[in-house]
Amino acid sequence: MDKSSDSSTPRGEGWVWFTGLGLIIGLGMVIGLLSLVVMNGVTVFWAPKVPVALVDDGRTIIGQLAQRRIRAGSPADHPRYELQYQVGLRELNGNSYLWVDEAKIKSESFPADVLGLERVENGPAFVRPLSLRKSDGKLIAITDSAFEPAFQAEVAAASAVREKLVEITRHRIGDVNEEMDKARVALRRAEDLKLAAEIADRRRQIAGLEVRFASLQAEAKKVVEGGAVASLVSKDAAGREVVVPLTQVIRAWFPNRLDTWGRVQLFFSRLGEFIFDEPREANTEGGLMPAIFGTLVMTVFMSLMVTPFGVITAIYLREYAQNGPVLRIVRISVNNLAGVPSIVFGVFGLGFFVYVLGGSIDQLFFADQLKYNNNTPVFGTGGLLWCSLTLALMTLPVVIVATEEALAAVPRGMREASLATGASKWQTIRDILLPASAPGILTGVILAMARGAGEVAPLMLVGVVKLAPTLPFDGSAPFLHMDRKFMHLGFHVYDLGFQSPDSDAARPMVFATTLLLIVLVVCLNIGAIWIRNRLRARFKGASF
Amino acid sequence: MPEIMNPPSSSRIKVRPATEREGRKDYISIRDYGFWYGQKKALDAISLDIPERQVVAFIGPSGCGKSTLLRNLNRMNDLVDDVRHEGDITISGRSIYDAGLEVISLRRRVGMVFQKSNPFPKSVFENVVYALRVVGVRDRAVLEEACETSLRKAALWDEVKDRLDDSALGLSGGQMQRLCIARAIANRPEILLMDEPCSALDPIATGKIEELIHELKDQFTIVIVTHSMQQAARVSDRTAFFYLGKQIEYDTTEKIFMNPSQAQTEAYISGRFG
Amino acid sequence: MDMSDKKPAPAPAPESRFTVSPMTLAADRWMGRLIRIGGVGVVLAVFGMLAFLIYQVFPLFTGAKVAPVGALSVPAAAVAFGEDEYGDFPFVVQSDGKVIFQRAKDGSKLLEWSPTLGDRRVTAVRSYPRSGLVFFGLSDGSVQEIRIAYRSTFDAAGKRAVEPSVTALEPIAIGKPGLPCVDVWNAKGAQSRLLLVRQESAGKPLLTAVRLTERKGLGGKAKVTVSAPFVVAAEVNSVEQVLLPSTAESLIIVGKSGEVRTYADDGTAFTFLQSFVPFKDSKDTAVASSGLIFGNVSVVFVSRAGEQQVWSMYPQLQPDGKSLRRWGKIHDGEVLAGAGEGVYAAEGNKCYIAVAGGKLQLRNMTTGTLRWEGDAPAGTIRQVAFAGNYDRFTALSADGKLHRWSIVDHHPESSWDAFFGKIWYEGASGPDYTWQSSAGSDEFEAKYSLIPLLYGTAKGTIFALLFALPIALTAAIYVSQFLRPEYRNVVKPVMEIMASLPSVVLGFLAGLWLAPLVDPRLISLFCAVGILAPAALFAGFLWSVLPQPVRRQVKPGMEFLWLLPFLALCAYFAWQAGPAVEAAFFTVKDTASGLPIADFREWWRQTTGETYDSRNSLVVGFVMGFAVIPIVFTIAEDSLSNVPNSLISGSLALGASRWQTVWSVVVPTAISGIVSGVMIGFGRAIGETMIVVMATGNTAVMEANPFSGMRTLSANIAVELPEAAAGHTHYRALFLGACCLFLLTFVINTLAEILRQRLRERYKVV
Repeated sequence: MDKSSDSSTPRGEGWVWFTGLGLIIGLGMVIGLLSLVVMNGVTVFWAPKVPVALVDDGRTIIGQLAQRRIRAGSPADHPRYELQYQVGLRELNGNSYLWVDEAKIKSESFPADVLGLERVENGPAFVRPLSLRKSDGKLIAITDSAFEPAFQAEVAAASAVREKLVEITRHRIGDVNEEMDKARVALRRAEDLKLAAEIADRRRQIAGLEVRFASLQAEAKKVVEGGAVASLVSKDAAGREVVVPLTQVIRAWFPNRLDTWGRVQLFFSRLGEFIFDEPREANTEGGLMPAIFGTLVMTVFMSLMVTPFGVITAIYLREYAQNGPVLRIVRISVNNLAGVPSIVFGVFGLGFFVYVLGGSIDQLFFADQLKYNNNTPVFGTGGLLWCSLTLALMTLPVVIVATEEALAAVPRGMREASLATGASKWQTIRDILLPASAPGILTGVILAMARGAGEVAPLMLVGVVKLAPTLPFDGSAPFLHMDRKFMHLGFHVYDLGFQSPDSDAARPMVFATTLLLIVLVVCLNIGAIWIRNRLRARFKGASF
Repeated sequence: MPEIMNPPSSSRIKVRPATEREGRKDYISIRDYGFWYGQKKALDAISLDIPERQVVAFIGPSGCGKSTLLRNLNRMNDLVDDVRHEGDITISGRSIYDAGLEVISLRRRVGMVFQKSNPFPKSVFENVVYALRVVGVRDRAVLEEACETSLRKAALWDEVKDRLDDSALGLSGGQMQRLCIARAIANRPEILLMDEPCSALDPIATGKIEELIHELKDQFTIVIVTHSMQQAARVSDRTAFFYLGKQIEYDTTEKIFMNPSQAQTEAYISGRFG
Repeated sequence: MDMSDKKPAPAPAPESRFTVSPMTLAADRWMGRLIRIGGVGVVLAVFGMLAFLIYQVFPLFTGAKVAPVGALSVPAAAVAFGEDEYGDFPFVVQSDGKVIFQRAKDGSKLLEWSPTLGDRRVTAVRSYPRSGLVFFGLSDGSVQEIRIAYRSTFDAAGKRAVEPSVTALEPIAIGKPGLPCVDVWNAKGAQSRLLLVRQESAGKPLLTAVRLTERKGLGGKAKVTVSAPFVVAAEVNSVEQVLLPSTAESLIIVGKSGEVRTYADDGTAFTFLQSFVPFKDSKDTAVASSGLIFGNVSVVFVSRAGEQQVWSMYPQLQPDGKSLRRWGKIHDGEVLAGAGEGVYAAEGNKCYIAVAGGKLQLRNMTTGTLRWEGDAPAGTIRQVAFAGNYDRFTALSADGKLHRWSIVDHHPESSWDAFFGKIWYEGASGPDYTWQSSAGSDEFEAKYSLIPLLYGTAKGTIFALLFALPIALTAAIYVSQFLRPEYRNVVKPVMEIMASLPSVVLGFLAGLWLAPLVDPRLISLFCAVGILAPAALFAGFLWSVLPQPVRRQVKPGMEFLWLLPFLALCAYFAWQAGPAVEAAFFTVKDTASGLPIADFREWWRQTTGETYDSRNSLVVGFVMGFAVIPIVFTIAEDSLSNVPNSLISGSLALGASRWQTVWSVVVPTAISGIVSGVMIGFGRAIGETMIVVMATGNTAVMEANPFSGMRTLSANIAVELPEAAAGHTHYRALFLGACCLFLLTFVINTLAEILRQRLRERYKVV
């Protein structure tokens, strides 16, 4: 040990602490981002109390507080804040949101009769109800104790009517329309080829479909007319009378009357709608089911394609290919493919899969479809298949590298032992190598899925859309429609956050979608990390 | 066995007297055999005959080629890139390089135990019956019988009979190596190659394996590579001494250790180099 | 244990348990084959990807394929021609006004038409093949308009037959009565049509024009009003050539000595704008031929010596300080083989054919590239016309031949210079790198310079690395060398999760949450971030001078837990102090109210004259940090923690402090791994797409300004490729961008990989 007095003050400690700063910032960034998303995402479904605020210009505002921010142009040393309220009633106010200077709010109260309504059209509404006009025309005032049960019953009845209507218009009429389109294409083909028998057949079919269409429309009309005509009479913040037909109401709650349990119930009811329903109002409301479904189907297909090819390639590189400079170059190239930007894969996907492959498939198998349906491409345009293939190609190096590493981690002795027992090479691979490296392969596949699920840029080129009319999977043959365009969580975030005309209205939905996407991707990653750590522990235990 | 508990000093080596058995004297026949790794010649003009059902030990300093020769007897070196050979090796008169002979078939006939024990990450049972499964035996009863027979032969049965379904990776080092021996003999090969089977084991485990070798030679022709001359002296009937890829001397173990004809052999035996 | 039943010598035949079943062998062989095919196939597919991208880009760099497709004999007196859309039924106009239609297939006559003019003669002919209009200048100074129409009919078998028709309109008196017309021009402006005639009066040129205004009357019948004739450019003494843009907005007159005079149309008359001599520095200043390029804002001049110049209108600073749109030279073209005989522009793009020295040259005006060169046919070329879709051109030679060529030239506007060179575009004040791929009209000159995109890519990457590298590398050093292992097992997965955050999420948060949030508190943010490093250094220094018993309280590897509250406190105070700092240093006069305000954004704009966007490079850099930090961190941490312990203990044993050991032993040993990590992070930043798309304004500007946005190669592709038509120049230019990205990242990653392998070998030696 150095005897000088210096020894008690280690040199360069400042730098050690300085490096600690890097860690703190890095961790802070991750944790900060995740908590930001979680907080903003979860509060979307939480119903807070709704104030009735008096502004000093005489206005009254009934609305849910959405944001608080520094006013633009306010002095930096004494920042003034402004508040954004979601007041709803877009048809009356022109906009659902309202900015108010915080200093100008004279008072806030939370009267128990404030009612929040989620509506099919025009977004939410925050009103103070006056009376309920029941289906039978009877009026019940808010003061009447029968108001609340009657209101709940009417809302339930109206929503049943609405569902019936959706069933008719969306599903049954949609099916008829689809059949009609097919029949028309077939008719055009028959007319062109002068197949008299088929022409007659198709004409008859179309006529039949038209009859069905008309009867469904009549049925829908009957439902609308015969169903509940109950409506809620209320007044808005400005004292105007607002009459909301209950068929428009999806959900109603008294935000200032709810107890915690009621809020939790409301939270899960909204969360359920978010996950299982279809989007409404240009995607800014309703659910995400098509996007969740699209993401899952695409990711699963991608992994179904990437896994066999990735594993086979890794086995080839590790067990069959001749060692040497060529293999080294190939290995480096495959590794480096993981670093090639995802957008380049998108470009390749569009140029090769969509235009070259898809175009050829259409020429070969859908020539009739092209000819008689205004040159509408089937596979020659973006779709689920091409998205899956593009992402499979993109994640291929992830699986190859993971599998190769897992195979390399299997000790040489195991291969030799198996071969020395008289197993063939394939038996060795099947019985020894693949089982031993399965966790590693699985890790790679999960990482590939995580990367694929979160990727957006290439998908924008090869087949995601902001609103797909149909799911890629449905009841009509061949059940799975690989040629269809689909919705995707990541693209949903991009579209809502960036392309939405009403960014305020889209904001809660973007955060909720973001949260969902992050949960999906982070869960996949944590799964991969967990499997990998188990794998390490397992090989550590073995005494090779 | 007391001499196992107290390994003899290098100056005085006890030699087990050779047992003469029936069987062909030139069961494995190596003729003018040379072997290259790329440009490097690892073996040069090896010629020796290994009689049936005897234990033959290959000794020599590191890098002398003894392991290479052993691994060539079941063509394990085929796995290495860029190798070639000259001369020939025959087993009961048939060349192992015969184009009509499947290398898999050769390896089924010639079992092998490696320096490091290498059980598969499977259960003890699955490890032992692997060779039979590979051959295509599916009958559970046959597998169970073969498992027990092999484990008994490998003197491991009593230790593991209650944990056949446990992972083989949980066994001790010595048990693992005996498990590998059990696995190697499960399909009843004719020849058993052992590449320094005890180098990673403690003296007690070594003793057990040596005893096992002694018992197995009734049924198998055993070729063992060893670093320890004492071990060679204890277990083998005949010993070959290699140096720098050349076969210096091959004779009965007794002769090699008591009265070597080559000066290099004597120098190695008496510990002056190696 | 003598097993007597085993005694007999083994049979020489192999026993059944050793034989290999054919199934096993077949399975082995087939699976081996399958794996080989699959493996090689995938590897080839990976390389095929690059090959495909290059294959898509390749057509951009090929020239035009032009081939003669025959010549049609026409009457030798033909002075002008025109044709139908498909070029199947051309017509020629003789100098006496006779119009003859022929079949292109066999030369047979289809129709002959002669004007009925009484005692007047045709003295000038001009044909506009694209619009099917022919104008006759007559001997009395009036002009007759002839309309050519083709009517397609299909017979029962679906065969197309074409019936041409000729309609002659009533002559309009324009020129000075009694003087024959020498030449005649027609142009259709926004409001009215212009007819211009040239006559010679006492050796002086006389240009007279009328305006025809067409008004839709009741019942759909057009009513044409003809204005009184007016004289144009009366002061001109000599007229060699007159260029009248098809929009009739201006007029260019080339005089005998090579002086060019330009006039602008102000709605009632042509006023003199500017005069210039293109070849004033040459021995022979005369302009041999000239032609307007499609779009009407550029003119090509060719001298008698074959020199080429392109002039265009662009804003120029006048002596009085005003900036006015004036004609100026934008290109000096290659010198042609001989005196210019004619310049004929294509329709729909910026290509033209220059006839000079017995050669025909197809050139692109924008890039100046020669697309094709061929021998001109014998005889003076009277007129050249392109087909509307640029797949064919036709030339009428004086020896009575109509020569036709086919063109295959899908990407006339592309060349190496177009993508990577500085080009002086039409209307621009100087040569520049510009990416502007599309605009409303056909006449738009597409600008495909990748340089602004590469610049934007580099800018984004540099800002990302400036931010990410210090954090990632210091964190890697701390985690690998100082942090306690139990914390390490938590930190590393957290960093891996950071790597997995979808970039669309980062982009969304950057653009919609972060940018508006930091915008008003920028100085506070700078203060808070700026204080961190000195604060951490100070904390470390403070700790190291504390007495030993106090120091023991902080266990090695736990410093960051103590540092955390201290830094948080420092950052909080710095953040609060931000407004005061802003008031002290960044106070400027508000342009609107004239009052002093403390606003950094305004200060930046006024002091530097640069732009300030809230979605700027700093925001992008910060958010891209999320993508880059974990990658750099993981690789650097790996290579640092793999430094053999023997080296570290060796250094510590010599009495070096732990920082000295790290700085002088560990970091130099692992340096190639660290560099490799940095390069891979670099590669990731280069290709990042969604963050840039969402967090910047995506303007393709070339500014080093940190408070402005940029457009990167990847963002450009994401934004424009969905709209680009397959196979067009724009589409292929985007593929070229993708190729650049691919090669850039591939090369960087390969270098990084080589570095890492070298490091691995070094560890082997140690």
